[in-house]
Parts: sequence; structure tokens; C-alpha cells
Amino acid sequence: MGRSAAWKRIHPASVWVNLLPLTWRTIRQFWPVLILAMVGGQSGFHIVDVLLLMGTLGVGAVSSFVHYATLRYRVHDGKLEIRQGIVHRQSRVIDPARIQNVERVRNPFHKIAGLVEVRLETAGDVRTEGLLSALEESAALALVADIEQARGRAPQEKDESHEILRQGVGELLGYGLSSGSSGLVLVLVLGAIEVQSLLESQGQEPVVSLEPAALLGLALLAFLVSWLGSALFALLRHWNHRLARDASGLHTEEGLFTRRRVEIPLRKVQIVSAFEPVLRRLMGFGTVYVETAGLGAVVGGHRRAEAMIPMVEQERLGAIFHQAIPAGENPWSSTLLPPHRSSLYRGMLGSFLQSVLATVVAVMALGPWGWLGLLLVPVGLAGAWLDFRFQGWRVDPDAVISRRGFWRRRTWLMARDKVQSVHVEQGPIMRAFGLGRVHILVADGQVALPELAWEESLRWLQALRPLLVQEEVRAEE
Amino acid sequence: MTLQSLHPRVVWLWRFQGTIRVLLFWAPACVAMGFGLSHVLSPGLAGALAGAWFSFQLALALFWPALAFRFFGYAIREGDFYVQRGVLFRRRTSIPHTRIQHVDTRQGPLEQIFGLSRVLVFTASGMAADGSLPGVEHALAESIRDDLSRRGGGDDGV
Repeated sequence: MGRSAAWKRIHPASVWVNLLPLTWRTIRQFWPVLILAMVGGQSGFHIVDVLLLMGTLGVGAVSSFVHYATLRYRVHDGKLEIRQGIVHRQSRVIDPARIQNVERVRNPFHKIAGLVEVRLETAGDVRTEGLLSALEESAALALVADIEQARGRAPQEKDESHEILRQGVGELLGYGLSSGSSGLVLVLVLGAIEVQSLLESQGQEPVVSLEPAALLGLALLAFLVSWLGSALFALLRHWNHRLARDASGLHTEEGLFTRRRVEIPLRKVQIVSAFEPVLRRLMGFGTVYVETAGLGAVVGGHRRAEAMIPMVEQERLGAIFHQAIPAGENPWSSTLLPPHRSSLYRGMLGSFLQSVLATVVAVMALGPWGWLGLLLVPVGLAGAWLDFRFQGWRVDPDAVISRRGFWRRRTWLMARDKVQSVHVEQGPIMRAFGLGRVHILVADGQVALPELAWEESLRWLQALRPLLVQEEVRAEE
Repeated sequence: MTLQSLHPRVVWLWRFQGTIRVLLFWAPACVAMGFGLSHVLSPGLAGALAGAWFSFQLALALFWPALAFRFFGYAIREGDFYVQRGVLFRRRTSIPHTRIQHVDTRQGPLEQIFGLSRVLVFTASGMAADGSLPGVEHALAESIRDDLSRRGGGDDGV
């Protein structure tokens, strides 16, 4: 790698492949102005609207051409270099050792042109550090091989991965159906009521009367719409999801129209977690997230985990965790320690106060009917007990396990050699109960243990420091 | 473990910052609150409530910094950088030296007037600083920055 490597360019077809995404980016940046200009003033389609449309497309086209004309990349002296831009010139050098993961994405335009987008993520930023938007498949593979070589590993001649898991349509539908958002339901119901009121205020005939039965029907309809939407989204995003592993790490591949392939080196895995909301748990499944320091997969609009496996049978969750962090114990077959007993009392007190507050607000808003809010008290107390009952934690020489929540249960496994810093927190109510909470931070993620006694929390503040791990283990032995 | 304190001048810096915040934010907010409440309560009671809230915020800005100063402590230990803070909500932080990515010292206009600096310690765990010292003398801040930077290095766990 010592000699000067030639600069390479992305494929010329990138100009039209990127046209729509870059135009869409322009629209997203200026959407309030565009909407105001389009709907404001006189009704109908006018010259201003045409100019706006042409201008938006023009900006997208120019951006796309400039992107193609100026972007150069090469692997030189063991580093990946990327240059681009005319007005804002950017030159970026990325150490391959710092690359968290390599992602290959193919949207429908890439597929038509036979191209692929390569995304390289480091831990430095939530934005994608190295984005090569349109390469031929062979050029993308050559780049990945160059990066692997710069990392000091021989490039693999062929894909020797073995498949661990593949998601069927039924599982994806189950995932979508168990992801329906109650918040969305609330918005849909309130929106429908608002439209109804608007129609009535304008003297128009309401579609349905706002009687209790109609409201219940409306809520059920909203649930149906929410579930169907989630199921459709799950099918589009995770179609033919495949998890595989080879010598270098884990690979996932998914997507109907936009196909996304992520390669995660095992040594870069920071946390693996399982999310088991009660409905999904009753179906016998959980969702697994594999997180590196580069924030990758979009979950609920947020870039959160590098790879997500939507539906994993509960008996296989431990095996998937082991694939991601081999040093960790299986959280589902290990004995976990309970939180401190006072944590239950604190949880019950918090739940009781929340229910009373909700009731006071309900009485102020609804009158005597608001007292029904007191029914929340036993429900909340039961929830606090269930939450306490199913929490657990365990610190091993190599890994940390934490489990919290009943309705939305989550289990974390993290390798201790990834610990960045440790924090212990205590609020006034926790102080009254003598409790503390330990937060263990890794690169771009964290795990919180269930509430422990304050003194025990302080002990873990010291013991979880990675420098002391080896000495402690030796001392214990 | 012996903990170091911040510079006592930071109490006055915080009081000054708190008072500015009260005057710029809470004063107009309390006037608006008084007007708003006067529609549902008697004008006298509305004014009293708004005045009480303003007085509470001002008292908080003047007296809280002394408490916050008292509960703040830090230590550069053999293996880590330790910070404890918080009056009502207490927080203890341990940052191993090997995980430190970089250390910043920062000085805003008010801090320059008071001759103080902030030390911010970053790891790979996120965009915000994992540990910070909000008020140390500028020369000491630079010395802490250099000391922590020197101790950093090695496996960053990423």
C-alpha cells in the first residue's frame, strides 16, 4: 500500500440514480417554503408553481452531477481517502481499523443500473462517514477487499458465510402486527373526532354519530389501520431478511425495493439486546438488535442499531446473542440476580403517585367520571410488581447482562472490554429507599442495571472499570 | 480518596448566570403568567402567584450554586477520572484513562471575566462529554487537560 494508488470515480449512471434521492433531500430541506408557495395565493396551477417544481428538480440534478463529477476515492497508504465538492470541498481520510461496519444498499434505481451504494461508518459521527453512492458491484467488492487488506486481513475470495436465520412472510407479518403503535391509534381517533366536529360546525351531515359505540368502532378501526400499516412496512423493509455469519463477522440482508446488506465485524459489536413486548412474547418471539459504535439501522425514525433481526424464536435468542458476543453467557439459561427489594416499594410508590395525579387531572377535566381513574391504582401496582419480578442482572468476568421491564421487556448483553465509562445515579426518592442505578456506557450505547443498594452501586462503579477487570478476576481465583 | 473542589469563584459565576437567566426568561414569563392567571383568578392573587414563582426562581439562582459547589468533587486517580456531583440528583462518574478520546478546555465570555475554564472529557460513548469540570482556574484546567491527555491512549474499546 506504500505506492501512490490511483483515484477512482463513482459510476456515471450515478447522475440519474441519485437524482431522485437528492431531489427528495432538497424537498425535505425546504418543505415548509414549498408547501406555502404551492398552496398559497390563488387556487390552480400557476407559473410560480411550475418554476418551483423546475427549481427543485434543477437543484437535485445539479447536486447529483456535482456529486458525480467531484467525488474521488482511493485506498492509499493503508487509509481510505474520499474527496468531493466544489464550493464546500471536503477531503476525508478514514483509517480502516476505525470502520465499524460496511453497508451495501441497492434501491430500485441501483438495481436497474446494476449498481450498489457503499456506506462506511466509523464511531465518530451519527452521519455516514464514507458514502460512495453508486459503484459497480465489482468495484464495491474490490473496495471492501482493499479495506480488509488495509486492516491486515486477507480478502476472502468468495462468500463462505453460513446462514443462521431467515425470516418468512408469516414472521414479518407477526412482527408488523406486534409493532402497532397505540400512539398512532390515539392520533387517528382524535383526528377523526376533530374532522367530525369540523363537519358539524359547518352544518354538514356527520358521517357517523359520536356515540360510545361509534367511538369504540373508530378506535378498533384505528387499531386495524395501525396494525396493517405496521405489517406492510415490516414486509417492505425486512423482506427476505437473512442473518449469516462467516469468519469476519455477522451479515444481514433485507428489503423488498431497497435491498440493504450490512457486514459487522464481531470485534466491533458493542451491545446485543432483545426486545420482547408482551404481544410478541405471547407469539413466542423477540426482536434482536446488534449495535456497533456506528449507528446504522433506522428504527422508528431513529438510527439506532446496526442490525436488527425482527423475529427470533425465544428459544433461539440465546444462540443469536452468542453469535454476536461469544464471550457472554446465555441470559435465558443463566441465573440472574434480582434488583434490591426496596426497588419494588419505590416502583409501587411511583406508580401510585402517577395514578393519583392522572385521576386528579381526569376529575378536573371530566368531573365525577374522572374518579374512574382510581382504577389505574391497582393496575399500576400490579405493573410495578411484575416489572420488579422479571428484572435481573449479572456481571461476569467478560460480560454484563441486564433485563428490565414486563410489558416491554428488554434484555441486554455487553462485553466488559467495551466499557467506556460508568455512572451511578440517585434521585431524592431513590435516596429515601437507599437505592442507586448503575449506567454502563459503551461507544454509542448504554446498559442500565436494575436498581441496587447505593453502596453496591458504588462498588460496581469501581469494579466495572475495564482496567481492574483482570486484577479482580485473578484476585477472585 | 481525596476529592478536589472547583474554584470557589464558580459559585459567583453560577449566581451571575442564574440571575441573567431569571431576568431574561422568568421575568417576562412571570408577567405573562400573571396576565394569563388574571382571567381565571382575581388580579391580586394572580399577581401574587406570579411574584412568588419569580421570587422562588431568583432565590434558587442565588442560593443553589453554593449547594452545587459543596456537592461537586473530582479526582484524577491511578486508573480513572472520577467526578461526583448533584444536590438532589446525585451522580458519580468513572472514566478509565484508556477510554479518553480527547479532552477540551473551553472558556466563554463570562468565564473569561471570572478567570475560569471548563474541562470536558470525551470518550467514544457519544457526542456529549462523559465528564466535565465546570469551573476551574484556567491554568489548572490546561494542566488537567494535558495530564488526562497524557494518560489516555491504548485500546479505546471501539
